[in-house]
Amino acid sequence: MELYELPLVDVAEKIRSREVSPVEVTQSALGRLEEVEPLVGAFVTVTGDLALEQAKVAEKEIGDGGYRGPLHGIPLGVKDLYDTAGIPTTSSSGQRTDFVPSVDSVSVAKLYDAGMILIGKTHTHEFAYGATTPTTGNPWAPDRTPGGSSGGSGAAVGAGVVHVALGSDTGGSIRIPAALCGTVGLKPTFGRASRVGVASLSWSLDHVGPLSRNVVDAALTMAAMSGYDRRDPGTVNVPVPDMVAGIDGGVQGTRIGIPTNYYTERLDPEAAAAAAAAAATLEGLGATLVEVSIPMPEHVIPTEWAIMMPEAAAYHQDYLRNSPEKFTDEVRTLLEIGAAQLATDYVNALRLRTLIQAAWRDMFSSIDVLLAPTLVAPATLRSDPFVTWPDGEVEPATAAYVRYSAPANVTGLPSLSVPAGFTETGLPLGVQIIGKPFAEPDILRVGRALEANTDVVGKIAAVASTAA
Amino acid sequence: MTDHVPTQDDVAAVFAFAGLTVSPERVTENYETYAATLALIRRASPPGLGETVPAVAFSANWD
Repeated sequence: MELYELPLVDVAEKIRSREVSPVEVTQSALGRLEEVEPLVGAFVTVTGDLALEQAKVAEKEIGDGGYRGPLHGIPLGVKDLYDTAGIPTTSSSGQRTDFVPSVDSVSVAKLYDAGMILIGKTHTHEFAYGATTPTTGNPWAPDRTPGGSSGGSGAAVGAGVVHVALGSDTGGSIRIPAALCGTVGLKPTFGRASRVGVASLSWSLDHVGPLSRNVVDAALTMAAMSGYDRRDPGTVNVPVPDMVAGIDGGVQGTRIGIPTNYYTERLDPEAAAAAAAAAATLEGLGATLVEVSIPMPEHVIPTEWAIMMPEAAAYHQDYLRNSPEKFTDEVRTLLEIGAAQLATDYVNALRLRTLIQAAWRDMFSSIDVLLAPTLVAPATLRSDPFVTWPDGEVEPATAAYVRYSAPANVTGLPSLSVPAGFTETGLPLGVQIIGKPFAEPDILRVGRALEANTDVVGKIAAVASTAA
Repeated sequence: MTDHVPTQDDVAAVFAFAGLTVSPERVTENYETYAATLALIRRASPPGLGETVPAVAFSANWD
């Protein structure tokens, strides 16, 4: 078995005990990258030389007794939206082809402090504004979308190149590729981690977080990324909990909300069955299932778009006025719409958000977490990014994928997507566990229970052999 | 509630006011997307919001 095939915690233990060197681990990741990258195209920039340099430094530190913890010497992919000092950071856009930051984003700096090794920068749907990442293929079926916007990160983790890659989530952009690529994806509570140094799509909806192979990987990475940062006014000054300590605590007595509306509408039957199976698994482990009605369902998507679009247009105003032709036509069109929106429509959406948040708080009075399908459907073809419903309605993939993920952005609640099965044709399906504010340890515990009691989490797509 | 759908002239006028260079051909080509999305957005501005305050935060603290 190759090193890249082992779970992160096993690799970490081998590094800690000096059975293997971070250099060998990095070489294994780079070898896997070379094998699968021609088929999936997950990376904008591969930082092989830097990775080997960082790995040699880690090897020496550990040899000198300076082991930093389970992320020390572990390869990392970083969405190309995150600033990385001295390394091109393009946001997969023609607007930033020559942009080389001089400072690392806060998340990257924190993960470097934890000892992680940068393998490369992963593709994003341009400026995170879309859920298909057209540059990249799904590792389980390269002619299908990996989702987005963090599609390169989903593909890199799903293909086994890295155990962890960073994503960002404004309407589902961590959880969508996680579900479509068969990985774990954690969108934390709004305010849990600093966005400084990450190109914004929408300041009041953006979150940073990891996509990972296993649940504990997400817990380790999220904890290392978290914390208050006065430069990001969205962050909240609350203690960062140990996200790993109670992760194996099980779900006995946990009240799990099962939606009777919204997450049941225009839903692929196989995705619905995977969510039902996950609920049954948790019930069998001692959890109590509680039916709940999602409040104000008709307002969720209009509120998401009415907040996101003008914030995105404001961020990109100079590009939009001075060099609009450098955007893809799709993103340019979305930005133009945001610039045409009334300010009062924006403010009223923020007022509606207040009401939605309060209604979800009431809903959570009878449950500890909510369990729902992450997505309405599995990965669409890259050449035909639409979902066709039995009544003949054709829904663009981005709009379809965002429907089930946006509520956690509008409410700011933490949401963990965990693999929950595969379609008959072998495409991954996911479920999401949504928790109360700053209750990441709770959703990780439920996700870990699913992982430990099913056989679908932690798998690597056989990209090369599939193609051969 | 009936959706408010802007006309093509409305869209062109607001682009000009926003300082964007959008050709008449481009407005025509994308009008359906512009209008449908702006109508969707308007649904987040319903009547009856009363005294509800927006979900925004500003801290005067310097720490």
